Amino acid sequence: MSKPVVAVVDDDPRVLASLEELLESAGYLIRSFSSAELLLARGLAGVDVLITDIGMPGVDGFELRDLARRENPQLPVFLITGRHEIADQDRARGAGGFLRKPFDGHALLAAVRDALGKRQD
Amino acid sequence: MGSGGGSVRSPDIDAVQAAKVVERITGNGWATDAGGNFIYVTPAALAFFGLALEDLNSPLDDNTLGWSRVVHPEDYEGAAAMWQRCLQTGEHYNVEHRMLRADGMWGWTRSTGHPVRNDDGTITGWYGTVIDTDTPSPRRDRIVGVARALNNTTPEAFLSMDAVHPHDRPTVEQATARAFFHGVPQVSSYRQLQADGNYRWVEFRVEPEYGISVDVDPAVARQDKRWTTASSFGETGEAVRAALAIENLYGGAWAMDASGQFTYATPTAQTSIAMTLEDLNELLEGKPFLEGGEQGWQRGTHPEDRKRVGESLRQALRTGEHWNVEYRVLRANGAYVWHRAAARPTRDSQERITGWYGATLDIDVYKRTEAALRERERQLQQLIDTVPALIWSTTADGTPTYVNKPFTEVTGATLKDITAPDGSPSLSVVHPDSREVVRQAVRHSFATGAPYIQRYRQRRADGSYRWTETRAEPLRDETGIILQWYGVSSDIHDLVMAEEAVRVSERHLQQLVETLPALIYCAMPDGKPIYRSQKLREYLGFNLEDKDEAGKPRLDGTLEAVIHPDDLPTIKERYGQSLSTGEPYAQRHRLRRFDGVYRWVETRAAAMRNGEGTIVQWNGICFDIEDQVRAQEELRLAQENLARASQAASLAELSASIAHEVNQPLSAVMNYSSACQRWLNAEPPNIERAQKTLDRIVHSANSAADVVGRIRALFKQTPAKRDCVALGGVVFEARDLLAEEASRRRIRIDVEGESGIRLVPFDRVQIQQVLVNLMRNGMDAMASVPKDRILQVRAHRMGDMARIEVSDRGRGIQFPDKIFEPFFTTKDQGMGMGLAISRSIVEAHGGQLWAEGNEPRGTKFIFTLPADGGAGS
Repeated sequence: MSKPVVAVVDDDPRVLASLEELLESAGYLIRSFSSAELLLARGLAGVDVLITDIGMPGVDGFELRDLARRENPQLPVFLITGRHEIADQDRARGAGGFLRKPFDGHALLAAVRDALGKRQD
Repeated sequence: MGSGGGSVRSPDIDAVQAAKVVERITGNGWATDAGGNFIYVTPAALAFFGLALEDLNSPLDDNTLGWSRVVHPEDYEGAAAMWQRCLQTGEHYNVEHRMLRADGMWGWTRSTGHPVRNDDGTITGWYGTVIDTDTPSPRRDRIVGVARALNNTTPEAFLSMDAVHPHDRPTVEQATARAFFHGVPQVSSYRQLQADGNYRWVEFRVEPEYGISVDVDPAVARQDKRWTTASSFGETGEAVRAALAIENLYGGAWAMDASGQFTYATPTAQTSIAMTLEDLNELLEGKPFLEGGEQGWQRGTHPEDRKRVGESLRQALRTGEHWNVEYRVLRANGAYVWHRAAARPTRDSQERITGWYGATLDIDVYKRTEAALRERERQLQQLIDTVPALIWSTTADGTPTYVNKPFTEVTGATLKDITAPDGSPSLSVVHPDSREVVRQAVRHSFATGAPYIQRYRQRRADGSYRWTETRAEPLRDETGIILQWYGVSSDIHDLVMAEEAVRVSERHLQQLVETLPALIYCAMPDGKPIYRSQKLREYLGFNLEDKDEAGKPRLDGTLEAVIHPDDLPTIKERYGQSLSTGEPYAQRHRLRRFDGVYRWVETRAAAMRNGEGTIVQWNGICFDIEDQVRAQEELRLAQENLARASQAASLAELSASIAHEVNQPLSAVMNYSSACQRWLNAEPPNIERAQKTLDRIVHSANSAADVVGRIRALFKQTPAKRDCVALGGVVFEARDLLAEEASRRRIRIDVEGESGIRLVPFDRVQIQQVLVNLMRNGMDAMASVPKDRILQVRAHRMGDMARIEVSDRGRGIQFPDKIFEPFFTTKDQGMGMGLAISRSIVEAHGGQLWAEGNEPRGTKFIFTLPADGGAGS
């Protein structure tokens, strides 16, 4: 079985690099993008999990989630944000996963693993 | 015939005969004996006075002479004295005195008398006459005139001056006067008013007629007997006597026989023409005069007059008609001089003509005068017709008698047009709207003699109307009787139009000023108000004089009455400055309305200067800017609220930003940490990757430290802005900022404290942020408290520090020491930075911030700030 592919989107290169490191240490294949537009241009084909920051210029995390779900309703999406007031908004609710920065890396990995496991079930 | 040399011995005539001769010339005559007793007076004259001859001779009780009855008492003494002297000396009697006239009035007359002497030169009697000398006037009852039109229509009409053209009246009057004075009928011509209103030239003859007497002719007709013939003069004795009588009165006379041969001529007259009787009588063509031959005297006439004069005399001699002719006589000095000759026949008992007597009077002066008068009249006429004015005249009772050429040219109306059928002015050239008024004025003037002046629209020839001013004045004779009216009409249309335009313009400006939605006033150079527009009067509820008080300038009274007391000192100073320097004045202030309400206005005033630059008036305008000021105030409040709201929001915003900034590297640190753990826990441990990841952890942690450093730097750059406002104001501002939020959260905010606490210069915005933060914390702390939600803020001084307490009645705090640490929070929301930042702000201002438990419950945050001055120290 091939390694699951995790797409990561964050406009902060420091956060993006640290997530790549974390997911790589867990044995995932990573496609990292500095904006939603770049991911959409590349396409979601082959992506097993999507992790995206919410507050980004242009297409933000919520929109990216909605677009991705339209293409692949089963795709696990994790939203992360450094702004807690955004996390309080109504549209944040009902998301597959929601993490507030800073979060525990182990918790994220566990959540990703759960999501992939559920899907495989 | 008399002897040669032209001199003849005086014929022997008596005074009565002489008087009768004179009577035929002048209409009356008198004769006295040598002692002065009247022996003859023209009967008609006696009848007029109701006197008998004896009455004139019998002295009155007061020893005056009998004729004093008819002489004015004031003139009697002089006349009587002269008469007495003449009787003694034989001098000519020649006196002017007033005499009773036919109309019962006293009139000036001239009495002349001449003595009659016998061969010895002894005075045998006196004869004389009385003639009027009153300045002739056109009173019709004193003139009997015979007008004869040139076309020889029937004469026999009374000469009325009304029918004489105004400019010809002097001529007619003079002719009448000459007739009176000389007793010679006068012939002249004048323009006569026709029934159609036009004038036509007519010739007229005027015969003398005296007020005290009746007609000349009846007087002559009443003579009782013919004069006898004087032997030495043949049949012409009577004529010679008559001539001598005339000569005595007029200085010159002559007599001739029925065939035209002179039998007597006054010697001086012969001298003046250098002709003796023989010369005069010489038959030039060897043919008798009556048969068409020329006589010697005709050599002394002007060639142009020669045939005419001869023919007219011949005609008279043949028919017995009175001879009257004017011609030029050659004087001894070679000059031709105008004369008028008149002659009348003497008849015997069979009515046969026995001779002629007559006089030839020098009328050259008159002729020249007449020519000069005609020239003057012509010039006057030309002047009247060329002056650019409409000139007219009327009779004393208003009948138009003349209009000049311009009048007809301009108005298109002739004399006939402006004369109504009844003779009154038709006023046809007067605009119908004005006609009645003008008619009243005209009537008034004609009735009272008051000068007339009217302005009205006068019709023009093209039918248009133009404003005209017409003035008329009466011409009076010396007794004050109005002879006629002279009027002149001037076109004042442009003037009236200009005046009207000015009035319209003024009215327009007035309306403009009165309707402008502004309050307008004018003042004297010293500021004394002299005008207020209606709107200003209505606004103030009083007018100029209403605030006048004795001994107080109107300006002061007005200002004190209308300016808000708080604004008054400034206004007085600034307005006074403008008045003294002439600078424009502009000031906003409150103006008292009639109902006592003060409203904001903006007053502007500027000086109005004359051509020399001197200030003649101040004009001012007042705008009601109450709404504007209110709107501005509201805008200012709104802006202030907005600024406060943004200040209130800034701490939360700042906290969120800081949180985000710190979260990013922190997230990285945590992700790397987890990764590092995994690399180390892997089988086999991936030391290399773990090492690399640790490097990244350090790098990211440094980034976080940088964020903190930047935040600290942010709060260090405070000293720039320091305020000195009172602490109380800042506290109230903070309360106002949160007032809306507090009421929404049903929390009461109590603020108490000393007033006038001043701080050393501080950053008002930061301190306000501290206050807002503490108060909002307090409100948050009471969010779950069901009642007594009271937030209390107290400010007071303590030594050299100001102490501010913010107390809530919440549940209190569990960790009083930890709450000031960054990111410590007991709330679901917020980063826990507020108190940390607040403390750093307070400490940066040299104060302290701490928390205590509040009684009965809740928390009390206290901070201190250095106070200014140190009233306590």
